Amino acid sequence: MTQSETILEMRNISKAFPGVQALQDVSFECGRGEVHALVGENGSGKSTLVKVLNGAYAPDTGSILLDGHEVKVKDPKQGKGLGISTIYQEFELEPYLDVAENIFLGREPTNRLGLVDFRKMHSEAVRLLNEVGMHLDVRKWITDLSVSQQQMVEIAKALSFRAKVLVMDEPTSTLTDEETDRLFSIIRSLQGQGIAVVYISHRIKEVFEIADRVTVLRDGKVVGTEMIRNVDETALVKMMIGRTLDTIFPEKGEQGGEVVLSARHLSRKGAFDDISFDLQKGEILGLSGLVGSGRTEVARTLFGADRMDRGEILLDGRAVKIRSPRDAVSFGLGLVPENRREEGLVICLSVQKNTVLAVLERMGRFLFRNPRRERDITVQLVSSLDIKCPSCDCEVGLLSGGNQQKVVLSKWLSAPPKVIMFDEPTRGIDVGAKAEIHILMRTLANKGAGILMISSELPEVLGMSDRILVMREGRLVGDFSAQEATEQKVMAAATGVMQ
Amino acid sequence: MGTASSESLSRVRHPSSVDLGAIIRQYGSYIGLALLVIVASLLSPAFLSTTNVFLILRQAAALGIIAEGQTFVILTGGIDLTVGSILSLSVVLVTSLYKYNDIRLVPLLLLVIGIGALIGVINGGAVAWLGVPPIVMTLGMMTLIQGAGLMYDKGVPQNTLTDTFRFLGEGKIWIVPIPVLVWAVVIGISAVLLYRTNFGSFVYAVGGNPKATRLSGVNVKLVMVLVYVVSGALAAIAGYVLAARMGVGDNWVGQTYALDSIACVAIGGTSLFGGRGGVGTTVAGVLLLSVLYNLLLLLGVSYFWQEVVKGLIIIGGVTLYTRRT
Amino acid sequence: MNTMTSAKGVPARTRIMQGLARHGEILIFLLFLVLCAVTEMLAPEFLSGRNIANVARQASALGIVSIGQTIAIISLGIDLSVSSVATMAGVIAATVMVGKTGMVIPATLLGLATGIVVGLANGLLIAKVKLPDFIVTLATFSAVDGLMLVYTQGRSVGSITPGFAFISEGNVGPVPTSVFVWLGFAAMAFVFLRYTRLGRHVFAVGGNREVARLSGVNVIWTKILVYVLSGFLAAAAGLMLLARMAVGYPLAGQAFQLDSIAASVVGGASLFGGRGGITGTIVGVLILSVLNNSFNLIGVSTFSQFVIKGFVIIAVVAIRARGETRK
Repeated sequence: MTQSETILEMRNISKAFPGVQALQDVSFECGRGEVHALVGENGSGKSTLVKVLNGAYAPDTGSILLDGHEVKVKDPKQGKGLGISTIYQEFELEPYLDVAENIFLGREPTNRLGLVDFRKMHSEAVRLLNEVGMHLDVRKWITDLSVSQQQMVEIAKALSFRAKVLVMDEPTSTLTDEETDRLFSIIRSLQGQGIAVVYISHRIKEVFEIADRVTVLRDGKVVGTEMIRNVDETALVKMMIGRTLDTIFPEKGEQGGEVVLSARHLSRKGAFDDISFDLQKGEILGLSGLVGSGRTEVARTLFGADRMDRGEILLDGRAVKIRSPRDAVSFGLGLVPENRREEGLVICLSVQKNTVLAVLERMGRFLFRNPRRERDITVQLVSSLDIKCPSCDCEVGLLSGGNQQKVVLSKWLSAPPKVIMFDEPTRGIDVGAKAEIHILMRTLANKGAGILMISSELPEVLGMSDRILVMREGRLVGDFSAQEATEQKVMAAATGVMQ
Repeated sequence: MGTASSESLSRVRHPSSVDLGAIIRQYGSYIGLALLVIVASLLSPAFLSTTNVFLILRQAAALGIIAEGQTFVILTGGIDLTVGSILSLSVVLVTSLYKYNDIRLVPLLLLVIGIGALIGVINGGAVAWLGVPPIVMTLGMMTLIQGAGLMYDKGVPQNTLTDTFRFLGEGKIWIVPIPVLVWAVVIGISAVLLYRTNFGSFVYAVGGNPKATRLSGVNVKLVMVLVYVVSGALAAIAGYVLAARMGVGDNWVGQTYALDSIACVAIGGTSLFGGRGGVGTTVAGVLLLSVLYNLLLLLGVSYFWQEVVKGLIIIGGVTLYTRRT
Repeated sequence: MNTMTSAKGVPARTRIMQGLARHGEILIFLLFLVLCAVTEMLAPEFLSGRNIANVARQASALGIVSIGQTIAIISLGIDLSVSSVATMAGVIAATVMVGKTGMVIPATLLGLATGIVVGLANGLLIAKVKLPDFIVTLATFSAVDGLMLVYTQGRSVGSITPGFAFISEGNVGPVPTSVFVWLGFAAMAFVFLRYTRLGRHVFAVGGNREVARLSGVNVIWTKILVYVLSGFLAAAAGLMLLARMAVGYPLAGQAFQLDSIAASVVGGASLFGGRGGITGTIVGVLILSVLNNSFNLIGVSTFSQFVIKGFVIIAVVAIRARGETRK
């Protein structure tokens, strides 16, 4: 890549957050018209790098050069103006405005009377879309478009800002194969216009199909940057996950317990299809897969939070109807959700009030409280889980992530639970607390609970699980015992790479 | 190597730091009340006389009862504008059905409570199951109930007064006027309900985070319906008490109570977004508003100023307690 | 109440919902026609020239205030103060005018100004201090209502000139003048909402506030403008009422509070923000006005009217809410 062809250069970028070095001395460059893939596991630093690039974060050290000139990107809006556009997984679109208005929101063209020039806006929108081979009725509302079409609108938006660099974060996670093909041909058109595409994806196959170069991040550092033609899938996967397992996980348990929870042919249109598995007492069952593979949806359905179209759930061999979280809780199930602040805790309430919330239901609905018992339960759980808080009445929103997660877990522990489902149990938690939670999980399993652990962190999946299930695009595609599983196999199943 | 997640990194406050906002919210209304009482006694010598104090309390009773119910609704993040109409309906029903027949006293109480509760079921049901915004639902129901009451007695108030009935409204037990006694009992029951039952814990949880509360196995919809039932039932009780005082059915008597009750809850410190507050501060709010009205009266200020004061106080109170995120 | 965005992208609606949204205005217009037909059957004098003119005049005031309410609702807000603002405008204008032709213009301007002032107060408290919209407008409703009662002591005040009365009671050909005023405001609002940047931003703020903000829309000023417009239009409606009633009356605008919301929602405005339109609201106003008129002609007691109206409003809102929050 000659000097004049490089459009984007990120040099020696470092970014730290309290307790965590998210990026360390990362250098990344992208040429005009190049598709440069950025791959790495959860927590490797991909999203932080993107946010440094588009201006959401400011780097601690390092510099960004656009077209050879150093730039300081203060915020995403300025970044867009400089030519750096980002398309996130959650689109930034107005549901009840049409395509053209979405593209030009805040910059609507006006005619001589000062009124919005719809004709010009629409024709401009059509032109932008056609430029890269997209065809849409620009007068349709966003909410009437498919996800794939909405994505096209986002791309057109970026074009309207004369993007020089377009970052796409997991663009194909919700697209069909056909739509993915269409997206790729659009990307090729973008390349033809000289636009650089930073393509973030877990889907190795696609990376090989669309990218020219690939950079692998791991633990905040660049492992390597290679031309796509110089690597193969296996090598790439190795780069992503290869590490010395310096994390110690608790010793695994014995197998062969009774089956406590069975899922039979669970299906819900658009989320997952024909999911069947057994969870044994005392077992930690890891559920792995890429973001968007349907794992959270399965867990929520098992917990009664969402409906299923078809399927059966059996508890201790008996078929049960779980139509609401209340039902699930009454059967002895617990859920530690993905997003603890939004779904796991009532932030403004105290540790005690959060801890006993699930218990109260089990203790007899709307009857009288027993403050002493609540206090006892809380104190006991706080101590056994080692939750660091000034007092049981401390507002739970003030605790650290790890301690908050422990409070969420404590909800289910006042009585021996049958099954606990964890969704990304250690996301956003520091190393020390992570280990504590792992120990807690194993202890619970050893006491007879069945644990379903959804995790995107491969070391965790391999280190904790007695058995590993892999989901991809709503289906179960892998079932490995602890002995036979390797990071390679799991990742391959998750990404669909042939061995 | 830890992962950098924005959620664990943002908004980390020190657990030991003093939360000024919470303190203001918890004690602000009591302090405000104390200050107001001092100012009032300075401005008007008649203020602290026994007669006046009991007058304030007696007149505040109905509002106080309604405000306790409103607190429950607001704690879940909702609002109940039907309370005034329920009160009027209750007054009308009691005065017209009483017919100088003391035996009817208890059944009538049960009847109006039942009606108030039923209205609460409708309100809460629409809010919880249909997703109708509480402000609009209760606004529409308010009109409907008002109309129902008017249809019932054709706008012609009934006059009914026996000694027993009058005693309920005007009498005392020891020195405490009966309406105030009822109010005290309601406060007690509300406090028990809110602080001593699981239902009360659920009310706070639902107001604070309905999603997480549902995922903890709580029947959120049922909680939401029940708070409106409580509100409706208490409004009906307030109407009963008021009927005993007035002795005459009046279709429009409840008009100001909806907004007044919201004002009392808000200036007491309960957050209108739900999840924070309590029944004690509401009492302070009721007293604050009542003392203010009384002061205006003593100072000879026109009755119509009350509404102005109410509006300004609501804005002032809500602004004061607003959490700046 | 953000039910629109899920994990990825914005969920597409079912065909039926799409159809309803597109053709919703036709549906309610049909409802309006049915209502007229039924009323005509039950009370043949409904379609007399005099009655139609009467309904038209009554609809005009409600129509004007509903325009402002619709704009507020589209921005994901609500204005509960419109009734007392309307009252205040009428009272103040009547007091200043006192039947003198020379004072007509100053009185009108002053009346409109009070609407703008209250609207500004609402807007600042809601957008800058970030207080909930229903509480703020409920509080200003109370404060202004009280002020009016204090000032008028519950009695009617002031007087107007015949010239002023003309804006409501006059006729241009067979059409009452008030209709022209109403449609004039409606046309301006239509152009504003559909063809100006600010108007489009109102929709954006109501549809998804965050996206609007990220796109550079000044959310705060947009919201303030919305409430200023609502206050202004409420005041204008109040002046229209004044022209009809000939005196300033402290309870003049009472019905506006609920009726303007009802008309807007019936007309297609969504209480969850981002959707609505002037044409729909016009039909909504007509429906409500015909409903009121039919009650009077058929002889339904005022009391039953309350019940029916409350019921209709709840039904409409409930049906719409059901359709919109369906995941």
